[in-house]
Amino acid sequence: MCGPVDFGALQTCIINLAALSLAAIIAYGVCRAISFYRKHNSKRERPEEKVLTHLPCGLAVRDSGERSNS
Amino acid sequence: MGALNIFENRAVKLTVVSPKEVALGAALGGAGALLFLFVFPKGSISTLMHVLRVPGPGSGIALVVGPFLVLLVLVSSLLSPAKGGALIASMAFAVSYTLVVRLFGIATDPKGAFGSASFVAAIALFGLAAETVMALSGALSQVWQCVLTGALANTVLLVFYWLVIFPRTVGWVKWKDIPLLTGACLVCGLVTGFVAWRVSAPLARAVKEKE
Repeated sequence: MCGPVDFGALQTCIINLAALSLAAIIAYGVCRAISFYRKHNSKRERPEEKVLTHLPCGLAVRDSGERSNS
Repeated sequence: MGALNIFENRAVKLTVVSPKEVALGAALGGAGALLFLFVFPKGSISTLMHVLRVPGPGSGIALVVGPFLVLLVLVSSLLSPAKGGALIASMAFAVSYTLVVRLFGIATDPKGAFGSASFVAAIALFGLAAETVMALSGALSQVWQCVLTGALANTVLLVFYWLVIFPRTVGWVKWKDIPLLTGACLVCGLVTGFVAWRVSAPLARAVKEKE
C-alpha cells in the first residue's frame, strides 16, 4: 500500500527528531537563562532611582534617565 | 482608468528585495534542506505512513513534506518585510536539497522523486503558490494570511504530485482516497500555518532587536 517498509529508516527518523527536539529545548533554556542573567545584572548595576517625595499632591518624579515625549 | 490607478498604487507598494533578505531566505531554505535530509532518511516517510495506515500515494506529501515546507516558507516570508521571501526560501530549499543529494550520492525515496527536476518544479510551484496567496490576502490579518497560505500551498503541492510525479513513480491516486487526503492536507496546512505565525512573531522581534 505505501511502498517497501523500512523500519530502520523510521527508527533513525524518530531518533534524529528526538535529538533535534532535545537540542532545541536546551538551546531555548540556555537563551532564557542568559537573558535572565543579563536582566538581573543590569538591574544590579543601575544606580538607585531618586524619588522626590516632597512634591505636592503625592506627585513623585522618578529620575530614571527616561525622556518624556511631551 | 480606475483599474490603472489601482495597479499603479500596488506597483508603488511593492518593495524591492534587498540582498540581506535574499541571503536570509536562502539561508533558511538551505538549512531547511539539510534538516529535512537529516530527519527524514530514505524510506522513513513511506514507512511512517504505512505504520499509521494512511492511504496513498500522497499522504507523506500532505502530512510531512508539505507542512515542513509551509513552516519554512512562511517563517522566511514573515521575517523579510519585502515580497518574495517565500519563493526565495522554497527555491533555496529545492536547489540545496538537490545539490547535496547529488554531490554526496545520498539515496532518496524514488516514490517522491526527491532531488529530481520534477521535484524542483514542484517546490518552485509551491513557493509561487504561497507567494501569490500571501500577496492576494494582504487585506486579511497576518494570522489568517498564514493559515490560508499554508492550506492552499500544501494542496497545490499535493495536486502537483498526484498529477505529475506519482503517475510516473507509483501510479495514480484512487478516487475514493482523494477526499480524505485532501481534507488531511488542508487541515495540516492550516495548523502548520498557524504554528508558523506563532513561531515567527518572537523570531521577527529578535531580528528587529539585533538590527
